[in-house]
Amino acid sequence: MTTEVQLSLRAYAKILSHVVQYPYTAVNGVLLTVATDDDDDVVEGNKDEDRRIDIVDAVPLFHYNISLTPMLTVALTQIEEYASNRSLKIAGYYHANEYCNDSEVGFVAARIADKIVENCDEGCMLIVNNELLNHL
Amino acid sequence: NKTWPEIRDKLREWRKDHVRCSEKIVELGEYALAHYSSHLGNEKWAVYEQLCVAALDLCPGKMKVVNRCIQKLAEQFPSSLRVSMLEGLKSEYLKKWDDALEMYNSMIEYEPTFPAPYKRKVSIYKAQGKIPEAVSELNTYLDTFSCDHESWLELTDLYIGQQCYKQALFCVEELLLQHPHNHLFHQRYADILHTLGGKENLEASCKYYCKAAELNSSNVRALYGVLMSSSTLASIGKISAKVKSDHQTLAAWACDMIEEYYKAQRVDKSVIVETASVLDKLSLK
Repeated sequence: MTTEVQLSLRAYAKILSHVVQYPYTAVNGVLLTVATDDDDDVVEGNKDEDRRIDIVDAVPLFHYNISLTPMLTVALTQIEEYASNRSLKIAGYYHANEYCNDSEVGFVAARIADKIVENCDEGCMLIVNNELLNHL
Repeated sequence: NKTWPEIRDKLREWRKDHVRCSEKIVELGEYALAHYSSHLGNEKWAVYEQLCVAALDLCPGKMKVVNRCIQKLAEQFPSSLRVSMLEGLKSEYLKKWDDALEMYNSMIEYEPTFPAPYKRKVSIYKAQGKIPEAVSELNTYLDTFSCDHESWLELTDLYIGQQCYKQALFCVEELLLQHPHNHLFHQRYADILHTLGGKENLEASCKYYCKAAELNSSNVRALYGVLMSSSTLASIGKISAKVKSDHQTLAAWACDMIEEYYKAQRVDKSVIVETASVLDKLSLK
């Protein structure tokens, strides 16, 4: 079973705008997808099928002290509320590391991603490839 | 399309506040040096230095600018420590870490009271991913230069990034000693305490969030912090009815303050409704 992630132009542009606005620090945020009525069926569905996650929007979170939890909890609650009022749901997490030659999944990124994705039916984590930013 | 005084004042403002808007600095700095060199007088050397650092941010495209600045400054100020700093920065950009470290170490030996090379060494270790070395170097620096609040902030960040929250608290305590009226430092302290968790830490974080909100009633994160910590404290462990009631009153107060803040911002009504729902959820109702 493979999971393909499709990123909308809007989400892509927002993530890159976030990164470019704060080039000297790590940034992170949440990914949103469309909530459908089929959601209740997903868990019961065939787990061996190939899946696809369509990311339609991104919500920037922080660019400073990324790993402190209280404001992360507030932000996720706000995003859940925002998403549910617009037939969207949280579908993942994006992260860009601080150093331009570091595109690894660090401990902090993994921990936050776990926390976010455990509350999604299907979730993904995107790490920005900092080395490719120079080519933009 | 700016007048000369505007250009000069803008460059001065950016120098004074250490603003890192490198593209604008390079544009205005080059223009000022090309067209207003005589107006600048002796201030032009400060502009060369400012331009050099900003141009390094835009390299490799602006390397010629960097070299020209260093050359001009070296001619005017031979064997200057500040010019050596620029050469060190250039080596850092070129990832010639050993050259840069050698330069900074010799500067420190020659003039141990000049703070800049110590901090560049920390930056080099950070760039190499050698965080423990960066932390160690920064600690050594702060033993001597303990009033450098930016460095305490930097060390706080390094510790937080490594999940060394107790050490991060110690750094923020230093900041609080030196700047007891800075609401952001109180809020930072509270954030770290809250992250650590546990009843005692939550009680302390609640106090620090309250202090931050008292120092600046527009600090909405501090208000959310009061709400979260007091709501959690009202619902954990065995507490007396009075204590529980006090926590709930505080949480309710924080909710009211947050709602008032959003209303005062004249946001869309849907935002107010969404916020009310968020506040309910965070109050663990």
